[in-house]
Amino acid sequence: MQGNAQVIEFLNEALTAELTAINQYFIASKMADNWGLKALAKDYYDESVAEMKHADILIERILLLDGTPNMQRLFNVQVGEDPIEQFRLNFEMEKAAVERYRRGVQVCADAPDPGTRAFLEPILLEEEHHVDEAESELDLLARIGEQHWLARWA
Amino acid sequence: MLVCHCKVVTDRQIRAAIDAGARDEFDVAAACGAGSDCGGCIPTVQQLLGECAGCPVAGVARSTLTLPAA
Repeated sequence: MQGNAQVIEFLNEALTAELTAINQYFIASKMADNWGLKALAKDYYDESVAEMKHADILIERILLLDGTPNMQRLFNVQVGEDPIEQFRLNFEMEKAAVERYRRGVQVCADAPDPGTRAFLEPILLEEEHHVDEAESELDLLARIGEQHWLARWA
Repeated sequence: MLVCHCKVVTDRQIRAAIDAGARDEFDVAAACGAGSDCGGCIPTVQQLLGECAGCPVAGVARSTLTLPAA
């Protein structure tokens, strides 16, 4: 089924972001594990897999619309040098994902492609949930301090 | 933040190279190695150059990759 060119272009941009997020969470997980932050490592590992599931369905949707998934392109994988910087960089990436999917919903509305819009909305909700969780953690970090916050994740 | 994964160069090291006089991505690569392998971090290097007053941001990201002849 031939899809709208702008919609396919958006889906490929979203795929690039998901492929980037898979790698960013994966290296964050391995570095957290190396720092002894086992619970944080597990959390990042699960996030990486969640992003891979998004990539999975984005690829299927692009193929359904007779587009070509771009598996080659990545945005910058932002690797923090300490756990706090890493957490903040991951938070920035999640906020960018929410903004991107909101824009994607609009691209689908303009196309119009209500099917792809309905497809994107559950992903948007998941990304919003990730941002909310990260905000709660950053609030907690400000309240209890770096050492107590890190101890929770050890 | 680690910017250049290939040569293991951080944003602070790139800023230091710019403070020491690097004015484009080639100067940065010569000074600290960032952007001299896969080229994936060159947009970030250009962004850092742009933050430094008096450094124009290159309009097009140039890759250091050499493509095989067609």
